[in-house]
Amino acid sequence: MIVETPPLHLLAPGKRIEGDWFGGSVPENIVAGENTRIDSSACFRPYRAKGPVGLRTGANVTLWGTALAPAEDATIEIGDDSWIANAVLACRVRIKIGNRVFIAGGVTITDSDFHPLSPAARLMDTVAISPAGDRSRRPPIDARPVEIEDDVWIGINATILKGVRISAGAVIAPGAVVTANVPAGCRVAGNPARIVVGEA
Amino acid sequence: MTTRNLAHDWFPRPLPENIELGPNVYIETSYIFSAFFSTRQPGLIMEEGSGAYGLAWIATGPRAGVKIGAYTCLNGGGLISDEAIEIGAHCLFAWGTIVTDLTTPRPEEIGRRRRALIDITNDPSRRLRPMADTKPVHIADNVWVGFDSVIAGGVSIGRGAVVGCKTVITENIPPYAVVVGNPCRIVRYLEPDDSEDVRMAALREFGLAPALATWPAKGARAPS
Repeated sequence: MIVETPPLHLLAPGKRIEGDWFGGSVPENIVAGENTRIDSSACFRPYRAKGPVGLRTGANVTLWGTALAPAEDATIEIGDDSWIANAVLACRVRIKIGNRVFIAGGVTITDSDFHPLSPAARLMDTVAISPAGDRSRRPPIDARPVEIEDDVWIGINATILKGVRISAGAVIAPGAVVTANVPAGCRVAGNPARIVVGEA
Repeated sequence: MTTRNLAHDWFPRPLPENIELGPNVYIETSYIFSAFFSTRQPGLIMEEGSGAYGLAWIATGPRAGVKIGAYTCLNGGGLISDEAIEIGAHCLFAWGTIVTDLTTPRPEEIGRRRRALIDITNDPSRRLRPMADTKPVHIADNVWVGFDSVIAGGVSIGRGAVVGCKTVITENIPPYAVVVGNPCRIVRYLEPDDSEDVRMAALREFGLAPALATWPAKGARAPS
């Protein structure tokens, strides 16, 4: 006998998920396509979007143990038939994922650096985010949208950094750290990720 | 077969029936098997004294066979198998480590990946279908793998080797090599001083006698 995994739950705005081990609910400001499924409302624990749509998914999307973390004004967009498991989508402005995109476990996609680069601004930031500070007064933080086009495959523990466009059909090898655009149909590997040809 | 439940498990499921556990095996929670779909008999062997701690997990497809050798410690991390992963005795795996017998797909095989994703959407459990070829992974005895490393399909790692943290292994690693980086490179070789005598002394120290005689004889050497 095989241990059965319970079916994933249909995603709908504002709903509580039946039998969810996590006590939360799905936010109201999402748009989910037909037959899109999710394992738990825990995926929305870091969800901070306040705009009309913080997450927009197409049809037949699978979201499994994935941290959906759009900031207040940010939007995460995911196309049809994409499958995302145990990934982190840390979004300050916009992360756009196309159709039939596969994202494996341990993947991080982020469109910002989370903190400023300059030492003085970073010092300011530590105070602003402290319990005694005010997060609305954080210094400017560089953010550039990430776009992942159709039929891209992203391997385990890979990292996609801000401003990157991964063009259609590209393959990101496990553990790759992608800091620059990836042309269509290419495979990249390594840290920083570089184009590889042949077996890997 | 009887239904086996772990005492004090927070996750409310029995262990899969097609796993074979030696004496003194530790499994922290049945949660590690929440994506264990092997239909092999057995689909998993854990030899004496081996352990799966924390949220170590083992995800398998229907054809998969996984073997974990004696006194090997999985401290978090995951094994993903659609074919075969064999891990020797006395190995150490840190958190976040992934061992998989799946290879990275070739970009041009786009049709295969599309078909797999469409098949998945028709399954309410959304079980993953293979998107690339599988190649067995073999990790020999006494290998130490640092945190967040990835060991990819088709790789063999020789006895006594050390894999630094966040290393991505895509090629075979010789015995007693220390390998780091992404892409990975060998930085040195260790003295092969882990003899049978050392092993027996370690077991005797804890009043244990090995039921298994899988430890190779003396004389394994690092390549010069």
